[in-house]
Amino acid sequence: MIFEDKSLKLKIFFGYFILIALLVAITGWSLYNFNNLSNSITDIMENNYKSIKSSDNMVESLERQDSGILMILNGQIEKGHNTFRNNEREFYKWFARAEDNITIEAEKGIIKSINEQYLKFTKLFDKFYQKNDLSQRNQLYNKKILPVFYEIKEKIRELRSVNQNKMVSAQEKANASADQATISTLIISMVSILMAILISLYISNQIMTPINKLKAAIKEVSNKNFKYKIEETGSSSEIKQLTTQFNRMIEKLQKYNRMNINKLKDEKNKSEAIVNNINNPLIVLDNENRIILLNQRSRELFDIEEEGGNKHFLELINNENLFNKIKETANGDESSGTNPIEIKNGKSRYYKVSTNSITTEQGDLKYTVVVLENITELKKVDDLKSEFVSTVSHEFRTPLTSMNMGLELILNENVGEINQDQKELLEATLEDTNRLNELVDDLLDLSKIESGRVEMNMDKTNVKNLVEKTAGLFEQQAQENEIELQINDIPDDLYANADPNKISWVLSNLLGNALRYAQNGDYIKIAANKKGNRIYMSVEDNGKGIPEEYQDKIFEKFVRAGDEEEKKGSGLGLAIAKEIVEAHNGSIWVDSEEGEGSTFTFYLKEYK
Amino acid sequence: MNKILIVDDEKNILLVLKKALQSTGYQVSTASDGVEALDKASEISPDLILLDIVLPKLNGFMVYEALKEEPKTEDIPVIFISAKSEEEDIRKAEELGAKDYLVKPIKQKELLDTVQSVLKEGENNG
Repeated sequence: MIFEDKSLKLKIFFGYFILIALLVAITGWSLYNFNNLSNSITDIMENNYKSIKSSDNMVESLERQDSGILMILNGQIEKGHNTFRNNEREFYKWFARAEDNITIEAEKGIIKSINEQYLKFTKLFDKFYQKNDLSQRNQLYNKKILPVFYEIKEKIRELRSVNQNKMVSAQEKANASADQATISTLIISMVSILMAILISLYISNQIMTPINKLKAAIKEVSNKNFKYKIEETGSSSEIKQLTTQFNRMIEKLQKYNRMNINKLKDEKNKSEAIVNNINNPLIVLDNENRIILLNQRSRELFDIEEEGGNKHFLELINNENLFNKIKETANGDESSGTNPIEIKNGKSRYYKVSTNSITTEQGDLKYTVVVLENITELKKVDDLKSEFVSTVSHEFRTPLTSMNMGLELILNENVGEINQDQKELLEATLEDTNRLNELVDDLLDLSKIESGRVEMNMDKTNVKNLVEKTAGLFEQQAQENEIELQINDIPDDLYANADPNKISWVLSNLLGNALRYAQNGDYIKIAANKKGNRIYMSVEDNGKGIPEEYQDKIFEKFVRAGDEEEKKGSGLGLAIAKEIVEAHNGSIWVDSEEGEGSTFTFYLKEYK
Repeated sequence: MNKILIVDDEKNILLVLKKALQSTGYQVSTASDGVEALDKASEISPDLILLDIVLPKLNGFMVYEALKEEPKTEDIPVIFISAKSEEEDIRKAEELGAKDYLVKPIKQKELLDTVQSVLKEGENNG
């Protein structure tokens, strides 16, 4: 192809150039043909037409001269002579024109003979004019002049006819050349149009082929196929450049993409390294509880060797207790996380479960991060502590029994009389012995509950019955101290999933505390109601309230609010209550304002 | 007058229990280990035995089983005494057929009420 390696601009220019050249050629050809036609017409007009006109004028002049002769014959000699001479000049004038305008070979002879005959004609007229005799004149005219006159006229007619023929043939020639011009112009135009179409197609093809290739390439690249390359077959330098630049762009994109992927990989590796090196088992679940990440510790704990991506938790880790605990914790059950779960793998270990939900911007759950904290050692220490407390408490019981009973024997005067002072002192001693007894009881209860040795016998428990029974135990004490004990309306069909004895104990403890700190005229209100699937129970009093600094602590062991002097009870009651409520997967807290009263509230799960 | 045998290795406990029961009018004997308890039981044939579980030589449950094997002592009602309040111990005592179970610290009234009711039951049956 001659355009190979030419620029697109040049190609388009060449294309147009050819079209323009064709246009010029057609125009030139047409002009040439017009010119030919015009020449033919000029030939006819200038040559033949002039000759014909001259012939006609010559005939006219000749006939007028003849008329002049006839005037002379009729006696008008002067006028006839003038007419003759005038028309002689006229004749020569036209003859000269005809002579100048000889275009055909035949004309020459005719002109020559006309000239000769006319000379003869004028000489004969001179002779005629010199004769004075009319009959001689008549004789000369009829015998000599008239034949010459006809002769000339005949010659002129011949000249006219020659020119007329010539004109006809010129017109035919002009017609022929016009036809030829029409055909040739048509052919050239058609060829030009065809060429123009071909050139347009060629040029548009030259432009569109690489553009289509680019289009396809861009589509590929936008689909992240960075390996795609356009062949550099572009025939014009602009397209070639564009292709080269495009391929370079793809290369850069590919590099950039690879760089980004590497960066992401680095970050991922870093995160995974961190997660793997976290010393606690860590599991990440998606919103359908499929495991999407497990660290090394988790694999060790659950004996998992496979990658295990995207398998359901229970499919990979067959531990339903743990799964339920994770679900409970993730659902915001605060108490669930604090109770450790036992996981056996060879030896038994205890873990505290904590979860962290990762939500989308719309607030939908995306991932749950589960961290298991190994608290086996802590649990051991705690168990040891419980055991110690238990043992110590047991050891306290025997001496307490003899102290208590000994004091009672003396105070009851079973072993002899005692005076008032002795009695008072012994009574004080007995009171404190009893307090020591209570303390030991509570300590034992607490250590049992803490170590999980006390089982909760969960059952369908009617809340109204439970509250009424428990409150009944305190009615007498309340009446004696003139304290109003109210039970708010509790629906008959309110059922909690609870160990009734343990919850009764909790309620008793709360009522006992309220009564212990209440004064004459105070009230204590017990309420129970259902919110969602939780049953809230509360004990409200209008006693002196709990100072704010104690409110968080009263559920800890050995903490009592108030003055030293008023210390009653072991200080373990609320700690035990808390343990019991939490063993029910519930929670207990206090709202109190100093001087206004306190409300202790706890909740349990509804029985279903 | 009912005879009661108290078995405990704590001499202070023995003393207060003895005083408490004597002041109510019972005739009281004491033993401070398992072997002595069995000897005393066959020797004096008490109407009731208060038996501690934690004892030297033979523990309370073993003493109880030995008593039940001996025809002379098999009908004597036994009340266990222990600082152990574990449900397991109470259940075992019940399974063995003990009349009652007293958990230390024992109050005077509780002691006397239990002793009285067990003796009364024995009389009614006997």
